[in-house]
Amino acid sequence: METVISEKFGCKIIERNSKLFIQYDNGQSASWIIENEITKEEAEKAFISGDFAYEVILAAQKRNKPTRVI
Amino acid sequence: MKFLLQILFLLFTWFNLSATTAFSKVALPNQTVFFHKTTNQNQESEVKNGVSNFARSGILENSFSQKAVLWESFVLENRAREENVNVVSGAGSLVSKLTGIAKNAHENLLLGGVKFIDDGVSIKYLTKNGAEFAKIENGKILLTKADGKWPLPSEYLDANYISTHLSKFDGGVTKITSYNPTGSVGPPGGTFVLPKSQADLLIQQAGGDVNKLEDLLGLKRGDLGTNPFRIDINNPSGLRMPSGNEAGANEFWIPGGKTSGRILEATVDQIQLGSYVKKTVF
Repeated sequence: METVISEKFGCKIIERNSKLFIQYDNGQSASWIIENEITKEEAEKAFISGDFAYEVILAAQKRNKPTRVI
Repeated sequence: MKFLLQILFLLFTWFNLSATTAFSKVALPNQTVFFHKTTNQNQESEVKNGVSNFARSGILENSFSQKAVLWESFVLENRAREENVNVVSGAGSLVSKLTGIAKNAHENLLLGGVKFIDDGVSIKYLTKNGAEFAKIENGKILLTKADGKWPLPSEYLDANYISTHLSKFDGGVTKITSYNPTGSVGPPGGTFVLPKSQADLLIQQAGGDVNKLEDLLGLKRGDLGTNPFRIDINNPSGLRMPSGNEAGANEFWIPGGKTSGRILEATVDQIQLGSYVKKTVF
């Protein structure tokens, strides 16, 4: 079961199996959608602005390699 | 006749001595290479203009690309022969042994006027301030800056190289997606793009075959799905030389504005709805 919590700044935050994920375009010239697991605090931060959402993405990428969605 | 042969022999000897002076064959333990702006920059511009019209990855059958690659090699060699440039040939030179991604990364940086030190084991690249920021070792390019972030391109690339590179995107930029975009495109920090003219050429060469387009772009088959979209932006916001610190820069990213597959790249701000034209690639 997947629920969309928010869709802002080109990012989608979803809840799946009680975990939060941020989904976004991988940013390459030829791209697809990828996701990283994030914390509740990061999800709240990513709601605020595009810059904050980007910080969340970079921090999440440092912890774990993103996985492909689409 | 004998006299003529003697003159020819003298001329041949003189030519060889001259060549030795210009292109030293003496192996030295350490070499610092400095580049100066010269007439070769005009040659580089010519090369770059040629390179901008094709992607070398997978389309070497294109005769123009072959000519451009040869010409580019010629220019790179000439740069190394310039005044104040020391070249190590044979033992002690790692540059001459580079292949693949490492070779492409070195060529990018060489064309960008980056200073480097080749000690035969590694090639260390320096910013304009003389600080090491990257090295090639064991066939890989590695970031060596202590903070783990690539320096700004302006800190190590010639300003002229950057402006020439970005001018190749003047005709608009393109991004290809495996999905159907409905809002902003790219992560919030910005996205990589390629020149629209190069995208047109690659798509034309793919001839309606998504797998072939993936090959041309250096992707894995299946990466673009079955019905990819192209996003064209005539006036992109924030066009800049990639830094390597972007969310879209993966472990294969190399500095200098050309991918390891030799596709031209720049970054732009996140592409907002209303600023782009979307259509299917084929």
